[in-house]
Amino acid sequence: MAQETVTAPLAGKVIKVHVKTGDRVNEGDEVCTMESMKMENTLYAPVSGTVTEVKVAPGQFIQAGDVIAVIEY
Amino acid sequence: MTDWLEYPGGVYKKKEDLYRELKERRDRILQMGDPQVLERRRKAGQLNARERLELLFDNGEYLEIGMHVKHRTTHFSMDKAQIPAEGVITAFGKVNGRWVAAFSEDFSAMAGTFGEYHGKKEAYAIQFAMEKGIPFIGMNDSGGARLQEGMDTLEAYGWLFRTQTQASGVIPQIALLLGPCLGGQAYHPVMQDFVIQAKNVGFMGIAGPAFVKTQIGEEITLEELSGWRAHAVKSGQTHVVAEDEKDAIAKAKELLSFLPSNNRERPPRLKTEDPPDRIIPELDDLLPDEPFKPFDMRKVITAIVDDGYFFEILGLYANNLITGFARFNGRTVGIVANQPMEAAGVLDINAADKGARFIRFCDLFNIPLVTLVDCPGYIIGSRADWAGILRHGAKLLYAWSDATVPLISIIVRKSYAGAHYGMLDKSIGADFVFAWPTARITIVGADTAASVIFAREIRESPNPEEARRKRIREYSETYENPYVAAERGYTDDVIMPRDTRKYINRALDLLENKFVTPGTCPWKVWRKYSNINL
Repeated sequence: MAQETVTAPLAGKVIKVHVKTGDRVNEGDEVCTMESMKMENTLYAPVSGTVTEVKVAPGQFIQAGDVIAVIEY
Repeated sequence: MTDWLEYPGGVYKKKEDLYRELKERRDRILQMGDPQVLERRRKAGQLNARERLELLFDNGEYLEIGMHVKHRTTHFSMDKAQIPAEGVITAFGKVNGRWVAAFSEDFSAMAGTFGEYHGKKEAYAIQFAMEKGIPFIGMNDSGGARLQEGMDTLEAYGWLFRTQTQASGVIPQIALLLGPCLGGQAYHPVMQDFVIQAKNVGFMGIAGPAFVKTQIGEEITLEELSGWRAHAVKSGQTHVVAEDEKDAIAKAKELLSFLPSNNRERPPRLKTEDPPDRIIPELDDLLPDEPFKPFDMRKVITAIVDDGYFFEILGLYANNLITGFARFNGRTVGIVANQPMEAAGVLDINAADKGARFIRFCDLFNIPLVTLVDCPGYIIGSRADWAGILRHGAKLLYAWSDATVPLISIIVRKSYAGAHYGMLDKSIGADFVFAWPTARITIVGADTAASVIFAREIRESPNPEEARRKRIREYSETYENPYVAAERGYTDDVIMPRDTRKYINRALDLLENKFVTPGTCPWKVWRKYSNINL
């Protein structure tokens, strides 16, 4: 099994997490919505697979490159 | 074998024997290399090196040159090695009616390994293409360097790299990854204008998994290290992903249809049924009212271009910036657009790199550029600064400043600070700038401006929050609109979204004969090239 991570492209605040551990996701599904550069920014699953880890919660400030979720495929 | 006949001055053969000899030699070469490799590949549903050329060229017809070329090394049993066409077929033919040069590496012939004469054939094909002004396509499928030839192999890489660099900017060069291309040899595709990688069979990298394991102890599969995801998504070195070999060849032909044959030509202009002044009412409704809500910039692109047809370049990499080819009234245009749905549409290092190389390709090959702007700015913070956002971001400024093709900017929403020129404005060379009424063109967002200008007032106010809000609103009303720029003439007009296609087509008509050379423009003095931040 290979892994892909969903990472924050920018520093910002997590507004909503759309998945939880164990969820099946398809490539392109919404994973997390964050706010940065005064914009709402939604992050999508890079691959179809199973979410094995969610590392952030709403309200949390995260840095660019921080891992938001891990998807195994 | 045929008999030599004698005459007093020496020996000779009969014509029919000479002709038969040619046929035998030719047949042997056309059968290609190891039958087992050919059969294995055929069973796997793959094409062989000659079938790929037949698929590329119109009617499957091509003119081959150098089929008899042969290595000259004798060490390590190389004197006995039969390597048909030296493991690479070099050919010329027509693609959609226009001449194109190509090579196709033959994995069945000593694994398509790269030796002295293999490299010489490849370099020659590129040089020939450059001199004759026709595009070049390389189909890579090689086991790597032919180590038996030692220094002769090594030297041939240099010829190839130097030749392709000299041809860069003269003719379009497209690399197809249809098999392995690992080691220093992989600089060859990367140094071409575009790389198209076929899924499952095309691999590229500076070293394969075995070498990586022995040298640095990293365990990784070939697919993960060198497959399409590695380069289309992670490294940004594969511009277009293809489902298989056939798709890769089809995509190369499609890409060629947008391009001129060389830098002295204009791209071919196609007939289109799509009216140049088509009004697009739905564009008026596309943007959300709230400036912090994203929208899909791809929808703007497909709405305004001919027949909604967009050929994206690096579509899986640095998606905060969209680059690709489309047509306006049949003319090829390069599009550079922010994508507010990805990383807020910010310009970061990878986006700047992606954008700048695309802009320069278009400029080299007489392809007008259109930008669609909604950009909060260049990325900030220690991470970006230490990674060199200034020198990487500068690539865009250089690319625009140097460009002499028609340049049109459509400011859809935010155009702030450095990103204002990073995405092309009047001051850096745009011929036309049109803004939508939703545009916010100014040096910085209102809250940042207010917090700087009125820092003290806000701090000392009995109600700082209210003072801040009041000043933000004041700044926003004063500056966050398209009209201040329009009043100064930095924006040529403010247009309704529905009219965007019409305005772009009018601008392109007007710019048809834009021509900037040292002779027509005093700031274009002679120089080798600009010292772009690389």
